[in-house]
Amino acid sequence: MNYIVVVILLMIGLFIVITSRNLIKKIIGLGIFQAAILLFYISLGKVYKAVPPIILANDPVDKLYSSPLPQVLMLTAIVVGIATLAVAMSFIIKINENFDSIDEEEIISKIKEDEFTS
Amino acid sequence: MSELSFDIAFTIAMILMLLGAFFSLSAVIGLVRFPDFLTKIHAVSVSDSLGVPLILLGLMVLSGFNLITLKLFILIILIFITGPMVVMELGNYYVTKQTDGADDDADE
Amino acid sequence: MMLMNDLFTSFSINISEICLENFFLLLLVFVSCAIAVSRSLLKIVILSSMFSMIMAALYLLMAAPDVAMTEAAIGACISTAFIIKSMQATNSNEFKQKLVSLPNIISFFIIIIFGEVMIYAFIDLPEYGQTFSPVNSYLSQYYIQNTPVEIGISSSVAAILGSYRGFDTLGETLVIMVAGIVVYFLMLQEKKELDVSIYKQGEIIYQSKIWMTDYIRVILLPISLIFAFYIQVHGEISPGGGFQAGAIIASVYIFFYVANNDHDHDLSNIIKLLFKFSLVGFLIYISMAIFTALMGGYFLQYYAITGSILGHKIGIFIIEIGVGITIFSVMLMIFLLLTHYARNFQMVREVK
Repeated sequence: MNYIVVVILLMIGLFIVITSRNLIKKIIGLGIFQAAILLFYISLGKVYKAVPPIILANDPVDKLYSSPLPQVLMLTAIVVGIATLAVAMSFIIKINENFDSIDEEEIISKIKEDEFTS
Repeated sequence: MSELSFDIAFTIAMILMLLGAFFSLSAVIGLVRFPDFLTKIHAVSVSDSLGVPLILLGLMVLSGFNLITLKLFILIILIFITGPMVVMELGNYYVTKQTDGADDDADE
Repeated sequence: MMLMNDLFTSFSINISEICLENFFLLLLVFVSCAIAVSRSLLKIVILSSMFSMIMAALYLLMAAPDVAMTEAAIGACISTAFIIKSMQATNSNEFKQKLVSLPNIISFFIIIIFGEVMIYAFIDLPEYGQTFSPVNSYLSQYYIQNTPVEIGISSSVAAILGSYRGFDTLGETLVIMVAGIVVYFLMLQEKKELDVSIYKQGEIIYQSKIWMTDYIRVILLPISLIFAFYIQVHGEISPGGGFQAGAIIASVYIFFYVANNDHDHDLSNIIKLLFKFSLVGFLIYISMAIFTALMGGYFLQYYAITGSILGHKIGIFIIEIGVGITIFSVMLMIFLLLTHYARNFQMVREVK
């Protein structure tokens, strides 16, 4: 069930990126795509009846832990994702400063009309 | 004897959490059904003041005398402080805004 | 956090856990469909913040508390603040979008084919929650069994992050610092003269005389900062560490600036100070790595600090501090840069 929802979220995220005219909405769609990938990795590492992978001294030997490796990779992925979002936002603001709109089709038509030299 | 006390604590916790859920539900129904912006945020403030703290109180009763109880108590204090403040700021902004087109993003 | 372990021990495969997880997953699908259909950026931002909160709850149900804390602090608080500030800086809320048009329908069918291919590939995955799936067998078992022996700290996530995969964390800190540098050089500019006839600078339309927010800010700030330092320092024995603590401190200060009623404060000095802070954080990490090389080991081999397992604890502690400083300063700097831009350069078109 997890994996089906991951695929649906991937599809929805890709749909938003392809078919939205507003640039900020595209970036949010990219964020949904990335969140689906995170969900996939962490649901790979889940074990039923398991505790988080924090190993204390007085635990029994055969205690079940969920897998720590995907969690570490996804920790990195979240932070890198927000760095990408911040850079994308600053690019969008600069585009808005030049073209006066953040609508994709308006920008393309403006590029085709005038000769932008800057 | 210990089973009896466990049952009493469980019952009290369940009653508190059900009350909290009822108040949250009433906040959401008010948000949907009230006509104006100011009345809507007035309905939402119930959830911040009664709904969430009652549920957390039920969880506190359920977990006994622990470190977790103290953390939940701090959480209740934080939500009491910040929730109504946000609602007050929203209402104040709506009332004292000075541009025309003040009804742009008033509802929803 | 021994008590959290006890709480999780009483979880068995009961119906309520599966129902809760499936409910959250369905809610995720609904929220993302609402984002796809909606036409107002304000609604989209609030829905995406809700999306991040549901993801954080899901991660907690899947026994991943580090990731849940990071997602809640970064996804729900900081990314929402960034997008709202960018909306203010570009002065856009409503936009036109036709949902049903020919390119959209073609891309819809292409995406359905893509989804079918992915489901066909996902059928071969092991069942959800198995104890002996390939992910949980080889390397994860090695890390879980050897963390108390080789490194000596309780949290194997922090051990992998700091010691076993220390290079990845170094690169990630570098990535965050570079993102901060990019936004800094794009957004920081002096005020320039505009063509005043058409545009006017964004002006302050709301000056409140409420004092209660000042009191509440002053009360909340130290409590949240103490909690963030607790999370930073206890990164080795409980879920936590540098990333979460940095994000929480940054969101505390973002709250401080959002609830601010004094709009004439010049932010350039703070931005330049935070720029230097981010470099300091990365330098702490690199200096730790070079220090271990100077003490006779390899680059980033903490064992060489004292010649015993204690070196690992010291090494991980110091690099977590470096990571925390970098993330805090970069997140806050980017937010203040966007605020600075939105205050000074936002063009307000006069409505004729």
